[in-house]
Amino acid sequence: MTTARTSAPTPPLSRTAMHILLAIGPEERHGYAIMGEVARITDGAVRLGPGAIYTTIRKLLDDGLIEESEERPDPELDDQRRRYYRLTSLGRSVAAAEVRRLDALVEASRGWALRAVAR
Amino acid sequence: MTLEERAYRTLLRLYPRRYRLAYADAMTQLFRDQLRDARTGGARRGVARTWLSTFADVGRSAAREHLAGPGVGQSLDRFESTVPMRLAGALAIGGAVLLEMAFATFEPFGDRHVNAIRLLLFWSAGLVIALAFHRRQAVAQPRLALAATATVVVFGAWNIAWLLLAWDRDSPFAGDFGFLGFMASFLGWLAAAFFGGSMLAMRAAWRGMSRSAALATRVGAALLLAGPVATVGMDRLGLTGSEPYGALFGGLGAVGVGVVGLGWLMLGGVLCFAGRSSAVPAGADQTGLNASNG
Repeated sequence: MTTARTSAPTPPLSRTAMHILLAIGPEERHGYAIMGEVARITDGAVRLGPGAIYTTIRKLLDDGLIEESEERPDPELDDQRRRYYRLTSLGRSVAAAEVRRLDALVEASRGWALRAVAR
Repeated sequence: MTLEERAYRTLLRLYPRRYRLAYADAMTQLFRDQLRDARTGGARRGVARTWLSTFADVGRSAAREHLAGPGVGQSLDRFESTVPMRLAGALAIGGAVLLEMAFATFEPFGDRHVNAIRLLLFWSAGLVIALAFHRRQAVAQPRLALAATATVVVFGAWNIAWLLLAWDRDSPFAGDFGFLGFMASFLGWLAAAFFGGSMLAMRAAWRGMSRSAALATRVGAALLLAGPVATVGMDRLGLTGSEPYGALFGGLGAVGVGVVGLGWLMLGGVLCFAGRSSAVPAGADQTGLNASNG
């Protein structure tokens, strides 16, 4: 129904989109696994609901950052078929750009921010 | 499906139809997983908290999904029946109906503030309709479409602003302020006629619509041509006070207002009711809808 973009959307991404891209990472993940992984990498600070996850997945699919792979059951859960998603090459580029951007931000702020916390 | 899943599926009806068709099953599955986790945690509070966060999640994401969807102009371009298009149509119908009701009770002017509310909604309706149809018309004749839309928007907004500023004034129709209101109204009626005439000239507004929707659009546009007739009932023009035809001009003016109101009503109805279901992918088999309505 929609045509994937061939050029990267301009960073920064929304926080939810960034969390989902990073949660998928190099793997193929379904919605429940994405939800769990986001909670894990944010140390429980971010818990996404089905609405936040799938509306963002819809947008990431439209932007060509992720693609759907074949439905299959997750042997660790139940026998229900689940929709799996993986990053496209464009998605990997965007995720990498986002990580570099955040890395630079942290590097620039590390000195004073951590000192302020330590006080 | 459990009762909780049924309740969740009911909540999902808040999402746009096209989105729901694609993702409702996956979202229900994820919700089921969440409930299972909440129960496994052993605390009923977990389930209650899951439901609370679910309401917030659905509320936020459904609103965002609707706003991310096509705007009214785009929906009308593809002739998709979306929530924004229907809301715009409902506003237009509401504004027109309130004005027509004034004529049905034979009290066209009534209480000053009641009349102001009627006119506020009426001019808002015109503004919304002009903007909604603009994109379709701009494809055919961009300059004429821009001129037609801009006149309705500018003079509609002028009317709305004047009505709001006049709300608490003692004698809003007197002096320079009253003259500004007169000009807003006078030019607004002419703008409605210009818009209707432009729609008929461009022949683009009803392209791709069903026969009945195309007919309603053309009739609605034609009714707007009564705009100049509405002006003859305006006191400042002096016609209503003239002898022996003053009453006639007053009556004609009221009829002109009523006819223009019917025009907005019909066009609002097209926005509200005539779009295809958005379950049909945009662009799919347009040929079937291209009845020769030109």
